[in-house]
Amino acid sequence: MMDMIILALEQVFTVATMIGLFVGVSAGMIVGALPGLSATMAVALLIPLTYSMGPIPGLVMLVSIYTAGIYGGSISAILLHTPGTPSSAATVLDGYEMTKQGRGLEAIGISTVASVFGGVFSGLALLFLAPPLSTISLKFSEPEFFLIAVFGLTIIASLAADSIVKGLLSGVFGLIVGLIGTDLLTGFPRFSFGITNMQSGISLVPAMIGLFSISQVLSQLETLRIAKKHEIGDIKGKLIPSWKNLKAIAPTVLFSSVIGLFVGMLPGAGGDIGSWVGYNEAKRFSKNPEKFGKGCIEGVAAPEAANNAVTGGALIPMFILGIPGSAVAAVLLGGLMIQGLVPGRALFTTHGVITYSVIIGLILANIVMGILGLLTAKHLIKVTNVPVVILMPAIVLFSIVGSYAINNNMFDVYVMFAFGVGGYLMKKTGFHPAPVVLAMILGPLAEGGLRRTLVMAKGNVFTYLLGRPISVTLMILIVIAIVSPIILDYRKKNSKKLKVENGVPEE
Amino acid sequence: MKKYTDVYIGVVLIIIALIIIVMSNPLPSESAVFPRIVAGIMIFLSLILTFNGLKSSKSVKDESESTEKIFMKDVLKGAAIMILYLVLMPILGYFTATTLFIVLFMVAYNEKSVRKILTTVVILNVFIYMIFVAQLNVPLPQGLLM
Repeated sequence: MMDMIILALEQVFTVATMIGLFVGVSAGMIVGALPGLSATMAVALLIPLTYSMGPIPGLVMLVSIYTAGIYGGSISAILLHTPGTPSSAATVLDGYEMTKQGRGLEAIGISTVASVFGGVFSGLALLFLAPPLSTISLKFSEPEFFLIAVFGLTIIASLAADSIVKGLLSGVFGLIVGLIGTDLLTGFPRFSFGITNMQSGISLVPAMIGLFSISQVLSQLETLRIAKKHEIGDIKGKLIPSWKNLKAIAPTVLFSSVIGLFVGMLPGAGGDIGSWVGYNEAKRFSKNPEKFGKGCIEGVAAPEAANNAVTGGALIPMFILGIPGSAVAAVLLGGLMIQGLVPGRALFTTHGVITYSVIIGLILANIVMGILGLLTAKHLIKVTNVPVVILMPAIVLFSIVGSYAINNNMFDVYVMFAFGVGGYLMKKTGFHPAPVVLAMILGPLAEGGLRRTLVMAKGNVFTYLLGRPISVTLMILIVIAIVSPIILDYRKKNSKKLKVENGVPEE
Repeated sequence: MKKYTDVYIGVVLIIIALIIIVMSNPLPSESAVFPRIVAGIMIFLSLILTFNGLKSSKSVKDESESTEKIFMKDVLKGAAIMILYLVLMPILGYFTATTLFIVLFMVAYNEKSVRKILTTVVILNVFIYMIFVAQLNVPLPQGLLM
């Protein structure tokens, strides 16, 4: 492993990778700071650019956007009272309070330090936990691959949407989209309605771009007429955190990073859940919980450390099993597969240099993000002055040109737009686009696994599966995945209540 | 109308699932297994959705207007402009259609400053050209006149 890390370091410190990293970090921070544009959208929009890049610069760019996007959201949360991404909603509580007290820059300093620590922590965890964990995938055979795909789908479905039925149906919809095209095992075209373009299947990337960006544009248009200019709070205070403050937040930051890492590893639970859990736990274990909500530095540090720690955590199950830990990780998985990389043990052996480079790139991106953040936060907030009426056409242009650039054909653009409208309607009716994307990725895996399992079982599939310990474990996990949302639902409602009580505006 | 949304969605999804089952008939049995399982799960879940929808529609009266004001007309307008853009792109060529789209979009959403519109048009077109044409050599649609 060490020799591969050294090789990877050589790959990271190349001009191309460094450019990718800086572009990723800057783009991530800008998009993250803009309310209404999420990290998921940023990654989806920039995937087409990675087609012509090598795997290392391309993937490093994508993970840089991810972590910087999550961090960028905190700047608007603190200075505008509006979270730039859903992951920063919890930061609003104490962050904006500090701005009102004339300590806005101090809050940004704290948020930067906490984010960098959370990000680097989870990056290191990814670097050292993922390789040994990836040996699990060696014990997997066809039945296990089938079951892990089903598990991934049930758990993301149960976490993402308004109700578990709608979440599962979103996943089923994605499975059906994944069916379209030529059946890989028999070469038979399925559900393509005789349209040539559809025989090769619906391309994943245009679908993702539509689901995450055009749908968001349409949502923004709903309130464009009454959209008011963001009022930037007073930018005052000391940016560089004092030694005393750093010592004060250290335990909170460490604790929140651990929480974030674990929430990230949970399939489907992303930065938004991570930051709320981090905030609530920090408040619960604090000696002075009454300070929270009144502009205390721990209240900024806790959610920010947690949401950046989610990033590395979310990549662990994605790298080793192909089950993304968050919506962004699902999109990243698409970016990974475009480079011809398939999750599993091979990512840490045959393709080890690429994977380790990406992980080291993620760690480095967090550090660069911290430096850039401290240098530019004051000015970065001005991007929120860009009117929505300019921003929206720009996103439409990028969505279109990006989906076109993949295969240089208009059909992908139409697919992108159709998924955009579909994604918007799904959001309006309580469904969710994230399970659709995941199902499009996992569907073929599930089908292949199932069909080969049927052949291997030679008779009763169920007794065959019961004879395999890992399969039994996975089946239990699937049942838990369907049952546990009832408990999580309760928690979510609690955090929503907390949001309302504290007057956090919805993104 | 809104209270029956889930019921309508459920019924539509059941119909789609039935179409999938019918369409999987001519396929070799091996290729048809998975689509049929998916369709079966879809029918099961859609039935729950429809049933829950009917149940909650009885208990809850028609939802009063949601607290936040939403302008569906603005959404439809935006979607229409985008569709027009997509239709015109292969005919007029990428950059002509794009310019038209930006102007139309900004005017439709009450941007009155000509300078702002022109700046946006120039910046976005140059940006796309630099990245996708100059750097990535993407052959963007040229249009029928070129």
